[in-house]
Amino acid sequence: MTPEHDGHLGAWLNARLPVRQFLVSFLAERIPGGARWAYVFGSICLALLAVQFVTGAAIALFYVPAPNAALASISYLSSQVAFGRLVLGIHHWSANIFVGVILVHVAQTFLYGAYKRPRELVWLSGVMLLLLIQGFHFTGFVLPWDQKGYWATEVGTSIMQTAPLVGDLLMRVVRGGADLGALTLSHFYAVHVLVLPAAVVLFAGFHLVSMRWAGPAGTWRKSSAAAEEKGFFPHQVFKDAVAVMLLLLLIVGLAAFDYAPPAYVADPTDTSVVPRPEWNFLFLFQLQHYFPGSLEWVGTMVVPGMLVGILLAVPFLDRGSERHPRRRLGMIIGGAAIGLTVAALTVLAVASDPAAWAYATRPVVRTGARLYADNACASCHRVRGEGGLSGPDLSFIGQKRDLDWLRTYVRDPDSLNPSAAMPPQKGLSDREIRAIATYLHSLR
Amino acid sequence: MHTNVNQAWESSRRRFLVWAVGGLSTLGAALVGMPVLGMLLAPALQQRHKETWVDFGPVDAIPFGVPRMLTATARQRDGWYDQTVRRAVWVVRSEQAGLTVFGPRCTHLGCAYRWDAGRNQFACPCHGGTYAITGEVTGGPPPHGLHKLAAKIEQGTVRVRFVSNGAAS
Repeated sequence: MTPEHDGHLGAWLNARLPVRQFLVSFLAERIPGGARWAYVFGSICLALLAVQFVTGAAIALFYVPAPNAALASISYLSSQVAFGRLVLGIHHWSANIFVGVILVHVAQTFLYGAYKRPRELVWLSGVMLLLLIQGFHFTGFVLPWDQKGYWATEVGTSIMQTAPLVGDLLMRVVRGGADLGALTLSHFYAVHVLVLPAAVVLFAGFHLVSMRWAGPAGTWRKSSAAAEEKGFFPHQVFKDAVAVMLLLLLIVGLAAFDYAPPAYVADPTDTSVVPRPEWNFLFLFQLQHYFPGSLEWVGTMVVPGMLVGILLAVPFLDRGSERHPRRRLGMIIGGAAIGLTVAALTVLAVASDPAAWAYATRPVVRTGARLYADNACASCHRVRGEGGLSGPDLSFIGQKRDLDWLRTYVRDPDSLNPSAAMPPQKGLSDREIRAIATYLHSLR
Repeated sequence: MHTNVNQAWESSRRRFLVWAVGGLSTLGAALVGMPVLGMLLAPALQQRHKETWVDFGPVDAIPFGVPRMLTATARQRDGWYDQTVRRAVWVVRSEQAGLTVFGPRCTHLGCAYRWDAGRNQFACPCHGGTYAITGEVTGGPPPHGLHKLAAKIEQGTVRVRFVSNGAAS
């Protein structure tokens, strides 16, 4: 790695291509103000992109993009192939954490004023990358062809229909026809594994090269910027590597212990499903509540379009050379207002569904949901389109029964209903029974 | 003097950082790479031979001394794909040797052969390979005799064993 020692191969290569110069210009960059833990987020994004490419390619070796085969191939991979479930879990968790890390990266760049001249192109390509990652989520969620992915995509693609004039055509192009079906799946697959990866490589390359050309912005304090100028390699790269390693441990841990592969095949006729987009699209979902009827397209097209427009315009709205946040109060307040609005809309969307809200805010509900899954409750009971049909549908059981009733019933169904077909749950502790009952009580 | 100490410290710190970066990168790549590698290798290294017994109907329907082609359908798991396949075998029933079951393909290049009653031999139409009723090569290019399949008779039904080494369970 160190550019100063190169052996025969290095010399041979360097005589034909200035590899050493490339390495030096990429690695020996000076950071004004020195290396900092605060600067690790861009490198984390690059590492997670690599994780997604590797795990995605591995999954694609097994996956089949057809409605009658997609879930079967994913179930085969997760249950029959060694490490299949783990790799699916890594792809899933890394994708979600990726969005969070990008948001931190964007917020930080904004706070530091690092988008200012001469780094406008770095910012613009960064915004494109954010949109591309959202595109990966949008196209990837439907691929298992399970209930959650199917219904989220049904809602997501229906939104396109609200665009004035071309809405219907747009939706048909995206779906590959009027309805969500086999062609939608192959369309989304092709975009997810061919179009978006090509675009993301292009923009990530542009992002890196334009960032290296302009150099890292570093601290906004001019005095400390001049005082210390530690190199990107190895000082910053060390901090980046530690941060990436810790995050990878978290991702692999979550994949191993908190990942349930998709299990219930899409059923277009199911009416018990409450269709909801993924968390990173929830703010758009919530926005629609405020633009009813003929104004719907304002919420689905104009506002999101303006949001992207504002993001892209940031370096051209704030053109002074001053980077200190306190001397850019207008920008900082405006940015914070937009960020907080998006966050508030997301929270409102979660809160509008009592079950989702309880799941997000009460650890005991999450424990109960886990126990519910581990004890095969879903092989007989259905919750929001997922599960068997031999027992009663529990989607809204919390509206009908109180906590005590549920607790007694889960422990010993016969005590409340002598003809109950459900077996008593003798192997569970009182705490576990309480968690399951609390989870069931939250379903309303 | 002071600067020299500083420089020495700085260069050993730098060396440590370079090593740490290399170590952490290797660990990180292994953390994600090992499961992926395992996922690719596990099905390839699996040596499980899976056998299925397929029913070919009543043994009484097979005449003595005259080879018969029998067909049956069987379910087969091919990875995630659960499919119905058509199986064919040639069966020779004799008073002394009982039932002999041959795979339906010529051992030369896998063509389907047939029974030539006039010449009393199995004949492959592709390159003229011929086999005796016992399965031994009597002419043409086949490298060895017809594949014999394990068979048994259970409650009057012919059952033939098929072995695949697929990774499917």
